[in-house]
Amino acid sequence: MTRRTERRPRRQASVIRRDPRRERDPGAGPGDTAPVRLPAEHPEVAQVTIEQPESIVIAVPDLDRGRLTALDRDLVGAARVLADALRGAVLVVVPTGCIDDLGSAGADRVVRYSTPEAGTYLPAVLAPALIELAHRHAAWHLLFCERPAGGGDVGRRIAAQLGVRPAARVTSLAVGEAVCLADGGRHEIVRAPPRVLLIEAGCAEPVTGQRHQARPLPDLVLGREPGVIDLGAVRIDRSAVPLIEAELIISAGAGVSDWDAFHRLAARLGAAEGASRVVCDLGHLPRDRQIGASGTVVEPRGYLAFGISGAPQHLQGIARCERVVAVNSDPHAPMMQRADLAIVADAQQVMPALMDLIERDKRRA
Amino acid sequence: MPDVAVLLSVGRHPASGRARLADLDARALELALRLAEVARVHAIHAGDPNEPVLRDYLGMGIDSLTVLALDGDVSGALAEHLQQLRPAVVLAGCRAECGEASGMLPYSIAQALQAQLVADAVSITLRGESARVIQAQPRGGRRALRVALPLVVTVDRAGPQPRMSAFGPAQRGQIRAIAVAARSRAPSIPSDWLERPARVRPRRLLRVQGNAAERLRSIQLVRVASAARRIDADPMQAAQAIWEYLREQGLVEGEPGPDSPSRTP
Repeated sequence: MTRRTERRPRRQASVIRRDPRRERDPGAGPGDTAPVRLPAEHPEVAQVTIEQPESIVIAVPDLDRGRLTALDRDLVGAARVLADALRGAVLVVVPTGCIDDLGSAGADRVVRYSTPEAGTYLPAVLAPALIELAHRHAAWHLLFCERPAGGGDVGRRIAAQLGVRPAARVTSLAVGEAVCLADGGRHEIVRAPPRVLLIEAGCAEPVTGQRHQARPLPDLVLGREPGVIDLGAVRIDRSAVPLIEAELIISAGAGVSDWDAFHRLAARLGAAEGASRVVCDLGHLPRDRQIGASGTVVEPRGYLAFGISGAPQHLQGIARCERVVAVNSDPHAPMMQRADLAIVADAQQVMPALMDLIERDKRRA
Repeated sequence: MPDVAVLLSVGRHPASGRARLADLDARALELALRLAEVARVHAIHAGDPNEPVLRDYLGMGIDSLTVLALDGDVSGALAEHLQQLRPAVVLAGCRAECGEASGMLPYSIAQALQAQLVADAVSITLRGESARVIQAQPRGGRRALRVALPLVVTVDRAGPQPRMSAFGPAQRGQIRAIAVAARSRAPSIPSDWLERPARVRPRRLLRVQGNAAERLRSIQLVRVASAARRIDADPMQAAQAIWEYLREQGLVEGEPGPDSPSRTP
């Protein structure tokens, strides 16, 4: 791998904006960077307005950095199932920091709450505020994401305060029927949908091809709970976080031979270390660091691939990464097609250069 | 010395179906044992006192285990027992491995004790009239909370790995059974609910429109970045581009990205 890199003549520095549609078009030159108008994903989007709903279904998404997650979209989809049966409207409750388009996710009404003053423990104050909101709108169902410290916590607090048995781990929802996993996942319970439902991923189809109104309603006012004080985030060693939870992963392939530089860079960036199968086979990194179909399927926000060509199994493992940066000497490697930022260079030389740059930046700051 | 109660249940192995330590309850016991120097630890189980699996909890290093001998709904009996004991902290796994397993028990106990509740804890330290709890957050994050006592804490998979169970202490430990008249003999699952073996649900398929190559790619779950940039450069320029990109996307510490308004400092 390395030998081949050395023989290749150094390319001239240039920046190319790659656009696959343009590449297929023989008329367009490679340097043409004029913006291309892409067709809208859903050409005809039906506008849905519900003026006089007969009931209200409240959905409280968990969000990730102000955006709806896949589970949140399923949650709103599940709320739609219940609301449509009751000729009602879906009311979505989000913090003011939410920047996603809630209308296209299926929200008819939106209630926002501003992040409470520092030190307020959100679940403890959100639960009574949501009960109050449900009373005000005569809302019967409240739906939450089934996550232990997220929606699952708030939903169970509300169920305990209302004295109802919630449907936990709801895997399927239809009119008059909620299917909940029980008994450690060996059995399922079929029951009428209760007031509080805790939704698992894949419970209902997310809304597509429709745009709901997402009409803003007055903000939710959160009270205070003096019993719990939120002291804020604790600094953690981000490189020790399990691969599956990591936010930034730096990953090495067969093109990496300077392992010292790799480990130092990972520690400096606060990134979890990953590897391709070849690297784990050779024993450079332990097996639990292998990313791909036969290793760990990861979904970090950022994935930094050094010297990975991108076998299909590896690309499957990173299919849900948000941002991919690839450094490889072969511009035609599949990994370079996948990358948001593809750099044709020798990983061996880029790693120390990046390390130097970070150190220099830190000294300046 | 404050009292710490830990609620233990009998688990079931997901593959073999045999009775075993409930993993999350074992983690809760591990958290409790880490408080053993500053608090009295009471291990409590509600159910059958002759269940052999309970010995495995004793083997983790507790002298005795109180069993509320009953069959039927446990939450009423547990709440009553805890109201008498008045522990400063109640620890439990966030969900049982058998039965309805709705994860509501800690919440109804907190309601009965009028205690604060913290979900998904990683560690606890007691400080006089309050406790400092570290709570797990998504993406491996951690948050510190100061909570007034009494307090109910649930433990999920982020909790500490339970210690091994040793044979000697498991045999020496005492199981003290308390006969409790179950308040309601009602079955824990109402008659209008239907219980059946769980079905494997088909994975949702992505409906992709496009040519054959695009559909194939979607099956392989490989996404091609649409607005990709390619840089063909010397190492220094490459490093510069990577560093700028990471900062622009808010992927490195201290540089919040454009789309992260909720990030805590």
